[in-house]
Amino acid sequence: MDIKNSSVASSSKSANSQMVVDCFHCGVKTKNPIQFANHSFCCNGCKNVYSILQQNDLCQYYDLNENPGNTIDTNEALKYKFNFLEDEKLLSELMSFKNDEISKLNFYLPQIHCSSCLYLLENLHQIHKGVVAAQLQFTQKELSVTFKHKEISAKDVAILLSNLGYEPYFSLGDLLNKKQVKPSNNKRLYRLGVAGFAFSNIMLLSFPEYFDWGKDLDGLSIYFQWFNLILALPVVLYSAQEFYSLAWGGLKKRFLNIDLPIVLALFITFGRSLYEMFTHSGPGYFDSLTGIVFFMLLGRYLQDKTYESLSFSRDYTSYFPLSAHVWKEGKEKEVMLNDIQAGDELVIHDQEIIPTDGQLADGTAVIDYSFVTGEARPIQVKQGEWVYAGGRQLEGSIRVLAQKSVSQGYLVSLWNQSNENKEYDVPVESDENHYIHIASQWFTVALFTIAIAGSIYWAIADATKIWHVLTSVLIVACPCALLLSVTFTNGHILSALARKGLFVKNAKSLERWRNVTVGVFDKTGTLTEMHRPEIEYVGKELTADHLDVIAAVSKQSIHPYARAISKFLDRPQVAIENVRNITGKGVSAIYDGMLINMGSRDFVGLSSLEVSQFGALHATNTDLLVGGEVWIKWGSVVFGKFIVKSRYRNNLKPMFEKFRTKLSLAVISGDNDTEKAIIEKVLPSKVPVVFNVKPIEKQRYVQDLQVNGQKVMMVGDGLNDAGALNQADFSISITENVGLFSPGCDAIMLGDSLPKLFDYWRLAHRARKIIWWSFAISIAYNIVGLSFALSGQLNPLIAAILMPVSSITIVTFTYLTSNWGYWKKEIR
Amino acid sequence: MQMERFSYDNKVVKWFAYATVLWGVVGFLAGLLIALQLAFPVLNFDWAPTTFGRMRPVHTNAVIFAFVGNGIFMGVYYSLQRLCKARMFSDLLSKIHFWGWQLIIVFGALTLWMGYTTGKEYAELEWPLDIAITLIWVVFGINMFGTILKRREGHLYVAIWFYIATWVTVAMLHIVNSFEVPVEFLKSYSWYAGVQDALVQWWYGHNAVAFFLTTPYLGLMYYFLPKAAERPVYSYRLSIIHFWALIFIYIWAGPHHLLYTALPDWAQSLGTVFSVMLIAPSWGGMINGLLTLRGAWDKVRESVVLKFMVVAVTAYGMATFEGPMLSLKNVNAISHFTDWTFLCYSNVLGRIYPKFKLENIY
Amino acid sequence: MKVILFLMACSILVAGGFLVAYLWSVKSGQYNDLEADSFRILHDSKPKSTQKTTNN
Repeated sequence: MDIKNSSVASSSKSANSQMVVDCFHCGVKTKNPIQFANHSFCCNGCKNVYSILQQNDLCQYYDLNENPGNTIDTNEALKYKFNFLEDEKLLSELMSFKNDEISKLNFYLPQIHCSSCLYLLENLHQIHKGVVAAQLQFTQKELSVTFKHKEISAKDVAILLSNLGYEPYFSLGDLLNKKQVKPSNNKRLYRLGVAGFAFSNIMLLSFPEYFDWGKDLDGLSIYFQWFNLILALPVVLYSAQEFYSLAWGGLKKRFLNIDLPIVLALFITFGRSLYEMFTHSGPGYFDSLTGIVFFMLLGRYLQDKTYESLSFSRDYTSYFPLSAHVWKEGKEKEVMLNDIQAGDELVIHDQEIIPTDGQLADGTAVIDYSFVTGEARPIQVKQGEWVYAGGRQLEGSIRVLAQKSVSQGYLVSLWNQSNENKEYDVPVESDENHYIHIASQWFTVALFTIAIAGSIYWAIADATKIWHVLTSVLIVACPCALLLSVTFTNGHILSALARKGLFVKNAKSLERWRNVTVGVFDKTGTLTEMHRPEIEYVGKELTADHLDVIAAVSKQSIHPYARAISKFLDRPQVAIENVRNITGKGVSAIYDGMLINMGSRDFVGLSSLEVSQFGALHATNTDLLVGGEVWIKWGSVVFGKFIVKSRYRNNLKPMFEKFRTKLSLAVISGDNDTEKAIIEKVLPSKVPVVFNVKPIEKQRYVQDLQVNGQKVMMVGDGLNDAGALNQADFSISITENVGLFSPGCDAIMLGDSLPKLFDYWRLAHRARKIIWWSFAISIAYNIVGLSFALSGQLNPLIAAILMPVSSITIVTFTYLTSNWGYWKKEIR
Repeated sequence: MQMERFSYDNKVVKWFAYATVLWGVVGFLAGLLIALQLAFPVLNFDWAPTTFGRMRPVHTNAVIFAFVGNGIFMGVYYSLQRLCKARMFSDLLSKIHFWGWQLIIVFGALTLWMGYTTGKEYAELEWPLDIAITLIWVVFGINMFGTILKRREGHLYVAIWFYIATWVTVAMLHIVNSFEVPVEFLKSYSWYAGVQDALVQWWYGHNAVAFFLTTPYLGLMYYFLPKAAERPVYSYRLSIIHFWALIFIYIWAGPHHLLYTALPDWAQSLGTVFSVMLIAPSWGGMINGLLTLRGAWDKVRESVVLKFMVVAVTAYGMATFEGPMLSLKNVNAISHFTDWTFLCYSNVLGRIYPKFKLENIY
Repeated sequence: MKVILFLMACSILVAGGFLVAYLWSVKSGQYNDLEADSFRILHDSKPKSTQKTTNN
């Protein structure tokens, strides 16, 4: 009788005589399709989109991909959801262009996923005459719409898009961080292009010289050199500007940073080349010169791109909605968040976010604070009680009396406070940079010393050789490997980590990570999976049909247990009707004439006899779904219950064991200690676990460790860890998808990757080893090269070749070693 | 703001297509004839116009400028309009371009048969026709750039860049190589002398291969292959890098035709190096093209068009490998002045262009 | 052999022109969205009535 899991009746459709077909538009399986124009649709929404497309001759949408549509949620809320777009002031801030007749507005459409989307959206003008044009930026999922605002309003454009299955998403971040295009990236592309062009052409031009060094090449060599000079000039004057400004910046602070020797090398090479050219004593080194600039710019560009490929909003205020409704003078009005003041009466609708702390003035509040506390259970709030910023109202409208303006909300102040504690500026330098800086200072000094010494020696021994030796020495000694190896290694490691699910902010963070001495882990959402709880089913056998329906019904509820069940069952969608959602209690729907109820005991309506029939595993609170029971009632028959337990991630213990050998560990949690026994199984022995920790206390915990001289790595999720994450020396924020964020953390990790954390850490350490080895190689080059140069045996030509060759060697070495370890051993 | 209605000019595309087929037949027949003449000299027929000496340039001009040329125009006129979402800049210019080009071909063939020639390979036509070519090329340029300027699609697809490169470089090559002093109506002397002339000629020659025979077809490949396979180019980024790398350094390989001639060692070495280096961009194109078809090989099985394209792209790869290999001095020592060189060309031209043409006409 | 300088000058000039074209392309955002650009050519080649935009 007891069934443990849901893989009960797999694929028998025996009980039903109707055919299941796929909706032509969105692909959802439906038993009662709506027929239109020889196609089947799951609902009127999809059918309507199809007919719009058909009328406008846009059916290529369906040719480009199968079932390309998004299932339409016919949502009454659409009527007022985009009301804020009627606010002139707001619109003028959002518009990218406006004149008397036309306006241009960018919409972020997260549903974009394929070329059909591209096709449809760029043909928007076919669907509504008021739209002039629409241009899609696919990678950013941004649609730029130009429209005649006298014929169609911005709000109507948004509604039009929603009706096609592409509901635009607006966030506060849109308002505050409007221009996200980085012009600096373009600048580097220019510099790179110029350098690449010059380098390749000069190199090719120089080959005749190399093959026939010594011959005058029919009197033409001087012209070749002029060509080289002309090509090299833009590189020296323009492409290399990045180095000049950095070196100068360092000099101003009395600091000989790594760019200074580079600049020196560039000047010397250029100078020597000019000298050789005008004294006809040699071909010059324009190729090496431009080559160095090119390769170094390339290295920096690649590193930047790795990080940029994650475009997520670092600003946590983008979680909050753009504007809020305020009840003023008997009417609901749109007000921008920044304009909200204490005393305003906020109207918060179904599923909207509370922008600021306040008191519940009216209505029944059921608030989901999962972002704030990590707890999935919605909280019921009574009139007069407090509600906090970041919570999401789950059903119906409420009125909240704002107690503070938005910028002073509870979470924001926590965030700001923690920001003050963070000190990542230059004074506290991490090892690597420190060594490089020391090294480069000494390098330059040593180089000068050697050069001078060599010149003196040769002045005595054989004066004709002075300049030869001097410039060879200065050229062959290549400090560029120092920067290159750091840049490239970090770049490779960062991208290797990103490929496997850990997105580290930058190389500096990586360095800090290497030095941590203690690892602090949050429990909820970090060690436990919020999205794949353990689900058991106790009750009558369920057919495939039942499961389909149960899955569909549970999907209608936003409760995490319901969501978990639907995800767990993973059934093809079926169409159901008359969905009723009673938050915190359950959800009901009608299918095939039967009323399906899912939820708490009370909601479903059970007698104690029926309860005991399926075994009471927990003493439960009947108001909420605490204890994780979700009962199913089909018509009048009680089928059974799902028991939902959140699950600890797999393979945590081995990871902790490995960490234990290098770090101290600790776990802190905002929950109570009912799971103490379980958690101790996941951890190695004697790891302190602290329960009932509030967000502020988490931060203090980290702070205390730091005061004791520890360097703390903190792993957590959710905004309630924000303070602690900020406080830590290196913090990782766990997300289940890259779209969420946590402010000021150093890295973002996919939850599933947590067991591999130790391997990632080892990879980060490997970076240091690789860097040191490449230093060693570079030093070897320098020693060998210098000895030859000093002895006068080094042909400056060879010296000039050695420079890019050594750079290339370093780059190849760092690439191979960074990725080799990655391929072979560490992270599978 | 008005609503504009427009349509693409498909007529001129069709005309170019017919011309391509026609000259293709003519050119291949000529080629067949001269190939047979190598084995059976009796096929010279003892008549001046049909002798090998005169037929060969007729063949090369026919296949290169008539066949390939019309093919290029056909492909460009078709794809440019669609990529720019605009009709060609001027219908009149389109017509002038078409008829002008055919007239040049006809008169070119006539003059060659009558024995008038400059003796410079692929530039045999005498000065009046050189001027005519320049004029028609300018007409083509105005039409093309005009279309680009009035485009309705902001982004310039990579194929368009290839067309632009073609136009600019061929213009330069043709003009520089054709500096000649006219003496009579159909006789002129090159402005350059001796070895200098040879260098210029082969600078022209090789780069003509590159920019008349290669870049336009790379551009066409980047348009027609994805369209035929119904999927986008494997790596668009690669195609862009491929284009810019190519255009930045492609001009250097001219000298490789003069290995072991009187050209100094160093220039030859230069040419060799470039030739070898140029494998990279060429193969970038080939790989990109073939990889676009990954996962779509079943479509290739069913589609004649795609089959031709696959063969063409692969042949292009092989030919661009063969070219640089021949440029290596050692290898070249064996093959120079032998018939192997002809095979290289025939291979390339014979395979690629018919494929592209035929698929377009399909 | 001086002619080779002339040829080189011509070639560099043309190549330089293309360098300028490259810089223009980057500046005007031609390469900002490579994914969409490679898909766009697959769409219908039939022109319908379209409206001219001003901000291109």
